[in-house]
Amino acid sequence: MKVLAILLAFVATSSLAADKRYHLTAQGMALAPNAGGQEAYTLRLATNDWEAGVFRNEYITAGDYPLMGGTFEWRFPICDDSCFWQFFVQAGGGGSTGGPVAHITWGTQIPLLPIWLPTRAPPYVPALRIDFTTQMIFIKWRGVAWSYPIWAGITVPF
Amino acid sequence: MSLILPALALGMTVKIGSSGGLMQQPTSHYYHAAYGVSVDVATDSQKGIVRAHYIERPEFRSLGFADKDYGWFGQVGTKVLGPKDHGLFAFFGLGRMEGYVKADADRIDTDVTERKYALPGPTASIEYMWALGPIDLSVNHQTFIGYVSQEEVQAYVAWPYNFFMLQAGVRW
Repeated sequence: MKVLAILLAFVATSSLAADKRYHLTAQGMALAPNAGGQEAYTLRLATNDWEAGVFRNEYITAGDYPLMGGTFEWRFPICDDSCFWQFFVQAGGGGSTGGPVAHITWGTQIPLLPIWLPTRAPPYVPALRIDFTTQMIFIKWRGVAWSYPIWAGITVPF
Repeated sequence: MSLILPALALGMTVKIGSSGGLMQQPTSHYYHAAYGVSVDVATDSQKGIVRAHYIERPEFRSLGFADKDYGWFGQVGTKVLGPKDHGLFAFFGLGRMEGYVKADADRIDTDVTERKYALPGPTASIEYMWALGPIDLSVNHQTFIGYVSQEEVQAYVAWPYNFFMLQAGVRW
């Protein structure tokens, strides 16, 4: 009985932890319509419901400096972190040194394990994160769409 | 018709739509008017959708040159938010953008009178849709990432097209 109680307590604790799991992501390189791609850095924190982050793009400038900003997006999972391999779409907005910005992302997270497991993604195991991101930057009266096709990085769930 | 009739027989819904809006060209970042047609086959719950569509921008003529872009796409999608009569949808798939530049040989002194391009690549869409009886109205953003060659992918080059479209469709 004692063993069963311990197992049940472990399962209950795991479920509780699952509800509170966060994902910390760092991304650093995206393809671009020019040779060499674009150095675009972002640091992001997410749950199954939202993601917030800051970014800096060395390829495009606002004034004399690289474009920098922060965004908040609502996350709509197609397969959330109850899946080993996650898919999601996100939409939101924020501000940047170039003006207000709208942000749309399609993303996936693939745990960096040599095997696929029929379970949810394990915590603390780094995952490859690949995004297709489009930002619409509102500069004065003009909306400039800028894409980050295949923006790659690493996510750590905890 | 070979796709639509079996889908209807299986109790799925079929939608034929047309769209109009803007296409952002990847190198110039100019916005062009664009329009297209689409066919959706979906489960009744809208959890599974297969979409085939075609988009083009009108031919533009200036100074003896004419140019045009057009593309075909196949996507699978699902509803990610909302009740039955409206909601947010996400799509992902593959596509191919093509185009040409033609020179009027009578006006332009050149041996090359036409250049074409064709870019395969992945595509993804996000769409908010409202259902008004059998009519669906939606606002859509789609991005397409065109690759040119292995060499250019190794140099981190891609050609992102963005589409901002309004769509109307009739559903059976």
